Amino acid sequence: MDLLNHLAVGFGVAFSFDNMLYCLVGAVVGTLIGILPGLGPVATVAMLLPITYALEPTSALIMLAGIYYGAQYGGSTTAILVNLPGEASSVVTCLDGYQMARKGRAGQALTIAALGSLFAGCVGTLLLAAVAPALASIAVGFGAAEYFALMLLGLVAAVVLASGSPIKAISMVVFGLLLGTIGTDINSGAERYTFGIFELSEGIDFVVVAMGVFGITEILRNLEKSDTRELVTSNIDSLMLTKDDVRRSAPAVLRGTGLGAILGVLPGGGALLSSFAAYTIEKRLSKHPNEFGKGAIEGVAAPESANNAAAQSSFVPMLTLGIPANATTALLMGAMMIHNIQPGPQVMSSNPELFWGLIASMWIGNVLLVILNLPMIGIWVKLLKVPYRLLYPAILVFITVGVFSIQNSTFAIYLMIGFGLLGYILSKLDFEPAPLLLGFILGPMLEDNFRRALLVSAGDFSAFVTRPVSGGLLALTVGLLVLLFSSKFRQKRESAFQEE
Amino acid sequence: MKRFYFAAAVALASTSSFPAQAADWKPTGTVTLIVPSTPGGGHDTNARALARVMEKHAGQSIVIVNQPAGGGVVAYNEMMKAKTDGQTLGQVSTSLVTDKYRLDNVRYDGSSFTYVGEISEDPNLLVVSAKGPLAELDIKGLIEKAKTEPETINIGVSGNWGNQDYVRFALEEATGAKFRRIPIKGGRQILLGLLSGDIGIGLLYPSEVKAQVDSGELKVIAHNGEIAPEGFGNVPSFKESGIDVGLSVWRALVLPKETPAEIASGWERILADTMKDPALKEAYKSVSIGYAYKDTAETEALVKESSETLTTLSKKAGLIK
Repeated sequence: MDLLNHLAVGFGVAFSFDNMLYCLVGAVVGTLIGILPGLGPVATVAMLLPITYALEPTSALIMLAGIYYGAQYGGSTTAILVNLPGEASSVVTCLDGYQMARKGRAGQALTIAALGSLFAGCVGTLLLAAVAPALASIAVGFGAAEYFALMLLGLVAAVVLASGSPIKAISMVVFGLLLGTIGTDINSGAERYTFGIFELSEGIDFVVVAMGVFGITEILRNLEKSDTRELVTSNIDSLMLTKDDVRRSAPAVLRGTGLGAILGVLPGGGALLSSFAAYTIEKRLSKHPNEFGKGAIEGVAAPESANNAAAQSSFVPMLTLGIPANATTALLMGAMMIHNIQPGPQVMSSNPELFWGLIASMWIGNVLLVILNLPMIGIWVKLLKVPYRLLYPAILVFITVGVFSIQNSTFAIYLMIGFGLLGYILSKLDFEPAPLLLGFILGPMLEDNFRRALLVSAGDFSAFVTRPVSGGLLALTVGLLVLLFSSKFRQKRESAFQEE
Repeated sequence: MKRFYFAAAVALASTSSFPAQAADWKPTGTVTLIVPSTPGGGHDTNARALARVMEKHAGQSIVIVNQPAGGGVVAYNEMMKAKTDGQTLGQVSTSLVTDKYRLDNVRYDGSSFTYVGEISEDPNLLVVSAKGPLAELDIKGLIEKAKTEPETINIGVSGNWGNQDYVRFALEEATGAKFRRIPIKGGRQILLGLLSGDIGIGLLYPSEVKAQVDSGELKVIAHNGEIAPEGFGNVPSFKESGIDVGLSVWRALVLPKETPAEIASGWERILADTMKDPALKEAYKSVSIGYAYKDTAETEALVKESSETLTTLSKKAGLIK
């Protein structure tokens, strides 16, 4: 009953005219930022921070939170339409979303992304309201050993991500891991592969690599076809999901939501993993695994639900522990502190109207986003009819500005172009960029946590197995590996039989 | 004739107004403030709180440009190259004098800039988990334990030879205690480590731990500042506990070295007015940034002293070959 009372207070706050307006503004700005490739919510929230000084703290937070989840939303639009993942979480959406768009099913892809996100957002918010403190205690139990085991599980799952040859996928993961080692080694202070370039001493930013190997590469590949591009074929205006689409997506949305909501609670990279994990699980469970990577609707539904659920549940550690899950939530915390509100467990009791108002506003915001986006999908899809010779310079400008804005340095732009060329060569050789990015994202976290766990245990390797959570996750990893090899083995045997 | 009078009047007006203009130098357009960290970091929080109040006194809007690349090295290099017209300010901290011991080919040190003044000073807090095995100890007990059982207490420090590593090293040098050093990227990860029990003690800035201390998750055992940080109750400093370790992190505003004196003193005055403004203290307090102000000459002395202390420590730690 408490929960209902709290939600009643929350909706009372969130439904006020002012707060609805701020929620709407936040969601719209967020969507736009998300759609513009490369421009992330971090830069936007930082720029808008001064404006919020004059606002009521609750209104300010509602607006900033709107930008955050609105950007998640918008990011999937660019991923599907032009194969550009603006954030780590939309890398997976590119895989099948863009293929759907190429088959003329961009409308359906965007619709399922919107509906899946709505469902995930609503469930995630409810979860946040109901069990935030309990979830926070899970997050606290995760030490370096547990994070290492989780990342390892994610890395093994990466191999499943690839639709082509596993050897090529593994080599891409390894290449990604190596790219991730660039920078200063935190334990010894040694510089690795920095060649005396200061810009490399803290490693390469994810967006630079993603914009290169996805964005620039895709542009190069499209330009190479001298005739008019055949990005989109017939049927472009139909947005309606077929019965089959719904039947296939519904369980994927449910599983994605569950996974995202749980992993999102872990501030050390859980949200990041969730979309990758959701995709992998769907591919494993699907009756048509061979359609993945070629435009399977589950491959859009699951990761989109997962990353939106994770975006909501990443507020759990921030609101209950005062630990931000990423740079954007760190800025939100800053905004709270400017208004003399200390983020942490006491927020719930000291500022109930803020805490519950924010949660209720996320619900409203998610509904607003769908209302806003569904009619817009038709317009976005029409964007694909713009001649490519007009579209690609615009994309280039946006990603260049976006990449520059991360560190305000031109070096990142050159680096991105380099990665674009590399991605082009790799695509010619049939190597896929997604496993590379996953290796690149997980590698540094894997190394950090592995070495820290060993430092903490004074070099005792048994710490990974004896701690129950990390032991359990490692067992799961081994299980997945066995499954992977046995199914490959089975496939080989089956194909051998067919040949006979 | 008329023309002559006019010219004379102009000449007269310009000579008579010249000294006044020099004394009142103010920026003529939007001011850029280069900050060597990402949005949301301690440096950035400080810069945004300061800029908000300083805009009033400078009469111009101040745009913050975050250049986190290279742990701030890129930002410092950029500040050195900035135009000397007073439209670009930089924010520097202790790392200005220690970067050359951390990375190769760093070409700046404490003497590479014109200082506008010090803007803040933050102590490091020595914190433990309130539920962990070290929660019952005071600073003397903790040091005693680290002496009798060397390298059993895990200490989380942010990055490799950042400010907190120096504090840890100085603490060990001064007392003979020995901790097990666990370098971790960023304060957030140190917090997680403390809560999960991976590390026993952490060195963190007040703004990073305020929430967890207020909620009773973490306990502050001591700090390394000259004055106790606000809002943390009666926490003793190292010096009050008989341990001669300071090393608070200072932050200062700088201009490129060759900036004309008139512009530099113009900014010195704007900063002095800003730091006197009660709104600034209010802004700092809300984001837990430690208030401290020194003018140009005092800041130069501070940087020199800090530079000497840190160089001595770097030598002892074997960072200087």
